[in-house]
Amino acid sequence: MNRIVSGLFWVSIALVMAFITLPLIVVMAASLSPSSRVTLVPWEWTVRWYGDLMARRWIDPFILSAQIAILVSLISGVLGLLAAYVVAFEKCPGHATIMSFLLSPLAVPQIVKGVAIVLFLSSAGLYRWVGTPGLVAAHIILTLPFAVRMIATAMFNFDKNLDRAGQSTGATKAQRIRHLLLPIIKPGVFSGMTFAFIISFNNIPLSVFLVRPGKPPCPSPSLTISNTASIRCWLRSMSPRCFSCWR
Amino acid sequence: MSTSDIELINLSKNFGTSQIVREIDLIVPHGEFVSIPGPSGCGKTTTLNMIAGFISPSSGQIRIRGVEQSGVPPEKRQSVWCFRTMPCFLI
Repeated sequence: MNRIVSGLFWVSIALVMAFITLPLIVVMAASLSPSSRVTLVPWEWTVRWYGDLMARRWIDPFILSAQIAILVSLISGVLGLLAAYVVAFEKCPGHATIMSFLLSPLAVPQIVKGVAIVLFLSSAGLYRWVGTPGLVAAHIILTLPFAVRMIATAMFNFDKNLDRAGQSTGATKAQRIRHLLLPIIKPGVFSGMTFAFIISFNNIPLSVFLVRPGKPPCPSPSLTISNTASIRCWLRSMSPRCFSCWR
Repeated sequence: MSTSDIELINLSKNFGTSQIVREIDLIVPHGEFVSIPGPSGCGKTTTLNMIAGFISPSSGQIRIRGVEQSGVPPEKRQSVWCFRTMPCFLI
């Protein structure tokens, strides 16, 4: 009986993994076809598209995206660390309210956020911000809830008694933060920054509103430049990330 | 130089209306090893926390080596606080 149950368990896990990864195999197979259409079983094989990827129109957006994502993950990490320290560790007055305020961008759809930010920038006379500065600011708003959540969780799990023991042995506050708190919550900080990087790097719905003509970050030309945009959209909808969005 | 390491004088602690520690008087002479046994919830931890400085007493005094400790932060006190086993000893 136990063996049947565990067998079923492994079969279901294998099915889930296949369901998640098979679309990627379709994309990989399609990427080797010489036609610009998607064919599952190409009649001949080529790596031409990978060579095309080295063109400036793909490299420049990639570098721009990487720069924005690195900057955003660093700023989000630092801001998230400071916010989480006050809210989750020091438990300042009204910490629950501040926490829900920090997480509130999650409740607004990304497209709405994009429109709101563009309207704000133009009505505030900051239209020159549209482009990289606006993208960085918008991505920080977008990724901060994730960074705060991850770092705050790590801080909730921090044993306050360690801090007390450190304090009673004469460690100052700065020493306790540097030698006790930061090393223990390091995994949380890194995962928060990784989340921020990934979300910033492949964001489309918010970024399309803030892109200056001719200087698009990486994900948007992959949707717009292609003359087979609908097929790319279809491929995108096949990707596992979107399945998780639909949940 | 006082001969006692720790002196608790009339020490009390209230949390709201409930009195956790009521008027403790304790003198620990120099070099003495003292343990505080008791059922859980009787105020042992609260007393040690007050000696270490994490909780300020509602009334009474704490003296470590003859020095009054009110207002002295934990990191400035000559005591070491350990969690779980929670001994409080002098350095």
